Amino acid sequence: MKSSIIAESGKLRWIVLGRDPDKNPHVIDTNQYLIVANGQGMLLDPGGIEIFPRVLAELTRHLALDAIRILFASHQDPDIISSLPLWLDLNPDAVTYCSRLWTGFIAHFATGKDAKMVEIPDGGMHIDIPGSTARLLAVPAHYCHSSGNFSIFDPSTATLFSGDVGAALLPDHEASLFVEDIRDHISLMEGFHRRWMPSTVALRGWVARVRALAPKQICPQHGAIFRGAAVNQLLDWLDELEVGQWTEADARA
Amino acid sequence: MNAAPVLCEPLDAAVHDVLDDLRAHQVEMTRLFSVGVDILNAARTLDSMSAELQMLARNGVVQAAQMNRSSRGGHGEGAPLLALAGILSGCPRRIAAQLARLGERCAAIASHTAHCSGLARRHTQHLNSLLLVLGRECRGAQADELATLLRDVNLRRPGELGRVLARTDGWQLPPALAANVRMIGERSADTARRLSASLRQTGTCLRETGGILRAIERIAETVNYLGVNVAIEAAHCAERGADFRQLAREIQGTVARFEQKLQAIRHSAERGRVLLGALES
Repeated sequence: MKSSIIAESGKLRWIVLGRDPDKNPHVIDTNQYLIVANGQGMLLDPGGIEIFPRVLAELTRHLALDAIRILFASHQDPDIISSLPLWLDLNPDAVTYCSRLWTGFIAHFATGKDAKMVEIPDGGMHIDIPGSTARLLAVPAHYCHSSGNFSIFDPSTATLFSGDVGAALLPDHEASLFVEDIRDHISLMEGFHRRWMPSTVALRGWVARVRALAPKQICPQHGAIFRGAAVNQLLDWLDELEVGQWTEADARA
Repeated sequence: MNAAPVLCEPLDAAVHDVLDDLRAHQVEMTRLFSVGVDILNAARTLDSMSAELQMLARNGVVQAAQMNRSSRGGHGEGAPLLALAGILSGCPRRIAAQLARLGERCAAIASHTAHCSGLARRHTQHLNSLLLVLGRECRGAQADELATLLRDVNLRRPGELGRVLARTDGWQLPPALAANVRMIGERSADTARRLSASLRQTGTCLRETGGILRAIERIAETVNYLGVNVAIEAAHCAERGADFRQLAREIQGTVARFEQKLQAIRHSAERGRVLLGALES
């Protein structure tokens, strides 16, 4: 597992943890993001049980473990949050934020009766990292791809964590951390989006909300990070993309 | 980007061996859980057999009473059968009481072993993290020392991790990182202690199960003996005893199936004890 600081503003910084050369090849590659604000941490999509040891080991470089205040799950998938009980074992006081649709489902990962869960309403909410002035915005991303889905926007660095939107299936762990050529990168994203994103209407809505926030950086849970010109190139591409296409022939096959 | 750590060969091999051992431990724990579930399921089938016995005994009482009433003065050929059926009808209640105790113990075994299985997984994942951090942070001779130590300790046991952490005290890690190492170490040790306690509770329940099984066996032997006596008495009753001969066969058949199930539970409990012994060693 590798890690890198990708954004900084005052006492706040974003760190990406990923590109693990030692992971089980059957496990899809994931990016975990850590926001450290005034020494207090928020972990975005902490990942699955399988990769937990390497995420935790890498995280020890950046944050005191008892300062993990918030665990955020963009949605309910196992690669997103199945490690939750392991994080809560380490830090039972950490608060988990996820869509109101999924709190009861995520509890099936054996979070224990004392798990502190905050249900994010459909319209989104502000999330404050305790012990800091950091205030993040949970941006609705429903049906992109999960029916209860959120992105996270940090106004101080204009960084957006987009979950599965903008995700790409990269060929190997040596791939660049940042998107270098959007045309090449689209070939790694297209199949994923067409199949995993169920609703073009929902995707268009997400693009409109994100454009209004004017992010400088978009960080997906799989693949490379978009920054500079690649941000608008991604949004333009998503605005044209037809997803959730399932023809009658597919259905009958 | 911070590079992924590459461990030196002896340490890498030692860490892999430790993790393989912990994963094997986890698999054994899951096997123990499946033994717990096997016992629980077998105990549940005994309940329905006990109800069957109850039904047969009640039928016997009714039939024997009718036979007795229809014989001369109410003290005829049905009297011994009525007495036997009366004793027989008390047995399923005694079995049911023991089965309730057995069910409780089996449910506790299944619950403890499920808990153990979850704890073993957490223990493995936390120790894996810790070893990755220590492997990443050790320098020069520290790596060889750590490799040697890892070959010497049994991290399945609570308290053994303390030996590893004591060795790293002299590494002069940055304070924040040292605090993180301590924290993961404390959580791992705590998980190992809880795991050990849960295994002890499983062992207690398995031992108690053995006692209850012996009590049920004794009652089943009595039922079987009563069934034989019903068959003997029925033989004295010529054609009027045909129903009782059938009843005796059914009782003996149910007891035989009952004993087979008890044997299966004894077998599972023995497997559980062997697994538990290996896990606690």
